[in-house]
Parts: sequence; C-alpha cells; structure tokens
Amino acid sequence: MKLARILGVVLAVILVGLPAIIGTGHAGNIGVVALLFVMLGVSFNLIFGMTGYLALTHATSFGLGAYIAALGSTKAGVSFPLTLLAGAAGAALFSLPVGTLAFRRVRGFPFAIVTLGITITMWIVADHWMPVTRGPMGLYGIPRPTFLRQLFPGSVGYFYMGVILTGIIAAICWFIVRSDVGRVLRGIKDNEGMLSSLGVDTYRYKLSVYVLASFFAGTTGAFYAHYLTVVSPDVFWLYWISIPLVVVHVAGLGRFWAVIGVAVALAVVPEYLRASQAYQQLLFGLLLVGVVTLMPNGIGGWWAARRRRSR
Amino acid sequence: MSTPLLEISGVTKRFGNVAAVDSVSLSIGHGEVVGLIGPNGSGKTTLIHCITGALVPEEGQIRFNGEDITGAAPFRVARKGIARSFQNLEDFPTLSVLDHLMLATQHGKPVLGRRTPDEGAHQLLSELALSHMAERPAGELSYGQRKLLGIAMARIREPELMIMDEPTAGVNPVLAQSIVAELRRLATSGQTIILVEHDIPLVISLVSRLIVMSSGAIIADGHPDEVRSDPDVREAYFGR
Repeated sequence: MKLARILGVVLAVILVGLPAIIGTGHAGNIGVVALLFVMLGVSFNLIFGMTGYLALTHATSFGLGAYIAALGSTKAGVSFPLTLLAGAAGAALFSLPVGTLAFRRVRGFPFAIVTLGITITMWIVADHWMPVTRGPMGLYGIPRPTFLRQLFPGSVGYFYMGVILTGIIAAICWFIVRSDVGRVLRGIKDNEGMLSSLGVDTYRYKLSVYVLASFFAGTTGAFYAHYLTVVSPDVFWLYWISIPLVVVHVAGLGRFWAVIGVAVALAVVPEYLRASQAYQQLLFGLLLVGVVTLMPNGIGGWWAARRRRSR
Repeated sequence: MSTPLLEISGVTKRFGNVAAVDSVSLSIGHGEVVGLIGPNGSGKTTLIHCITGALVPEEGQIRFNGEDITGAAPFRVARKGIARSFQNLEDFPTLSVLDHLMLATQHGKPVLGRRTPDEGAHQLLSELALSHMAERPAGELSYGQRKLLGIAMARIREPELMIMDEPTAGVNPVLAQSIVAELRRLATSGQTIILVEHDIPLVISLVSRLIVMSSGAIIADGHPDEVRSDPDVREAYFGR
C-alpha cells in the first residue's frame, strides 16, 4: 500500500495547506468537515473495519460527546479542552456497559440490531428530555475557543486545531491497526471461534477496542459541537451513522489509508458540487450500493487484490 | 503413580434427548499417542468439543494436569496447553500464513525456543514446505496446504496435548503424505496426541493405543492389535 500511503500524505498536506493558500473561512469549513469524517472513519474502522462488529452506536458516542460538550460549556462554563475530554470520557463510559452486555450475548447481525436499538433510544431521549437537552430546539451558544479567533480568520484556526486532534486519533488508530493487537482484531473478523481456540480472549479485545473507538467518536462529537456552536438530536441519527458506515465500507474494511482518502473525498467533493445534506446522503447511498455491489472489499481491497495479481 | 495428562470421568453431552457422548471415562498419560476412531455420529468430535471447551458437558468432569477444566472457555483451555486442529478448514482467510503463526504464538510460549516468533515461524514454514506462501492470504492456499497450516498453528504453540481431528480428510495424496510425515515426526518426539481419523491403517501405523467409540460410548480401549480383534469393534465399526 505504498501508493496509498503517499496519497494519504498528499491529502494530509493539502488539508494542512488548503485554508492557508485560499485564505478564506469557507475552505476552513470544508477542512473541518473532512477532519470530522476522518476522525469518525478511522475510529469506526477500529471496531467495524477491523473486527467486523457493526457497532451502530458510533453515532451514539458522537452524539453523547457533542451533548456533553454543549452542556458542559453552556451550563457549567467548562473550558474547551475539558469539555473535549468530558465528551470523550462520557462516550467511553456509556459504551462500557453496552459493550459488556452486547459482546457477551450477541455476534454478527444481532449485534448490529442491539446497537441500532441503543442508537434509536438515545435519539429519542435527546429529542424528548426537555429539561436537559431542550428537545428538538437543541442547545446553542456553544463557544469556540477564543484564542483561535485572534490567530486565524473564520474557521481556519479551528481547522488547524482539528488537524492536530485528527493527527493524534489517526496515529493511535494506525498504531493499533499495525500492531499485534491489529492482527488479533482482523482474526476476530475472519474466525473468532478459531482465535479462541488459540488462547485469545476475544471478548476482552472487542470490548477494549469498542470503548476506545467510542472515546474517539465522543471526542469528534465534542469537537463538532464547538465547531457548529449548536447541537440538536440529529447528532444521534442517520447522517452521523451513515458517514462512518459509508466511509469504511467504500474504503474497505480495515483499510486504514483508504478510509482517510474516502473520508476526505466524501467531505470535499459534495462541497464542490454544492450539494445539500439531502443530496449528500443520496450520494452516500448510491456510492454504498455501487461499491458494495461492484467492489465487495471496497476500494482499498480492490486495489490490494490488483497489486497482488500484478506481482 | 504420576497424574495423567488428561482425565475424563463420566462425561455426558446431550442434544435434546440424544446423548452424543454418554458417560465417557478415559485417561491419557504424558507422551501417549492415542487414536480415537468410530463410525460417523459416534461422538468423537463432540467429545473433543467438550475437552476443548467448545461444548459444556451436562455431567462429568474433565481434568488436565490434575486441574478441573470442565466447562472452561476455549481460550482458557488453550492456555492450559491444549491445541487442536479441526476436521473442517478453520483459519483466517484474509490473513497471511505468517500472520496465522504469529497469532498462534501471541499468547503462548516462546516459539520453538527462539526469541522472536518470526524466526520460529519461518523455520516451521520451511519444514512444512510452506515458506513460499508465507506472505499469501490463507484463502489463496489449497485445501491441503490449509490443513497443514492448521497443524502448524497447533504445533508452533508447543502444547502439552495436541488433538488432531481428521487431519488428512479431503487432502490430495501428495499433501496427505506431508501431513502423515509431520504426524509421524510428532508421534516419535514424545508429543502427547489424540488423533481422530477414519483412515484406520494410518491410525494404527501411528498410535500406541486405540479407543473406539460407538453411539456416544467407548466400546474398546487398548493396543491397536487387541482392539482390531475385539468382536464388538468388528461388529460396530468394521461391520463384521
């Protein structure tokens, strides 16, 4: 995957350089969306891409991170770094009992259904728990870190902060994907029963990586809340489920660099097409159907197979 | 008298009203090479599943090195020192051959006494003539090569007990010879083995003790020559 790595680095350089070159807030906005997609993609790749467990609660973790950050900053006046940490920790803590129960009881399709049930429940809670979430009205007035505004115009400063955050999350995910732990996670996806007979406690691996992925999704949600300055129950729902799902599926399960490439492409291309969120979802849906039908192992899988054949 | 390596006492496993394994008791000593034979449906694989933790018996006790492992999770049983190869292909199709060996040793003992698993893994692959496939996904190997890989995964862990479930079934004659050579090497090295096979001449040529199961129960247990001449065995297994 040498070429894929080079492409990843080129994309990263473009990401870093784009707002500075163009010098407008709009480019910064596109960049922030790309970073959100990358953070969600690489973290979802850890649990779904590597182990094959379709944890639809990734949107729940994202939503929890967003709401915790929103509540912390607007109700309690907590500073940005702490709300980021609280959002991440809250999502991880929530995922612990969910994972403990789900990984002990179910596998495969039933696991996806359990996590979908939790996602729906959390969406309804956010939509109806008026005293805390203000229901469909959502929470607004979430502050952006002030020091960034003094340094950069518009969203550019926030974008650069996102680059650092994304870099940290992506680096940790990359380390795991490449490590012995990554090999075990891939083994879980291929043949979990066999892995157990080799002496591997698969439950512990699954739970750990699920909580870590939730932590990163929570971080992303908190980052998003401070970026948009408004959160509504939609953060728990379809759009934020579909993004990591489409990114990882189109890239190919477990294909780290392809995940980054697809995440950036899915954020940038619709912006240049001036597509609304509804059209974006249409595009995502069509892309998912097309890739799953024509390239069952995703773009990354197709590319790897092509390279193997050419050797 | 030393403790047997494996001790099974009155183990019963039922599926509905059918006792697939019916009050089975046996013990296997260190270094023994035991053949486990019987007609299809006689309970051999169910008994293996009970030993390795894949199934939990309703009755009875299984002790390994004197320790009760009845109903323990498969990964705990594996960590005690029991490795198995499977009747059907059980591997990781998208992982490379080398990755399989790395996974097998990730939570086990040092690989073949060497410091790094990679060296041990390469050495083993070389012995099994799989070196040229080291970086290929297991899904690209032939059926027989995948069976060999299964044995390699069991062997590289240096287990105290190896359970081989029909290692040559469905394998072409050339690769079957490689598997038999590997089994013979293991059998003479002092490795404790339970060999489940339908190829009776092969089993008899490898083992020092033969256990015959029929309808979930043990009907004969002894030296292969004695067992072969047992009238009950001839009736139940050989059909005459």
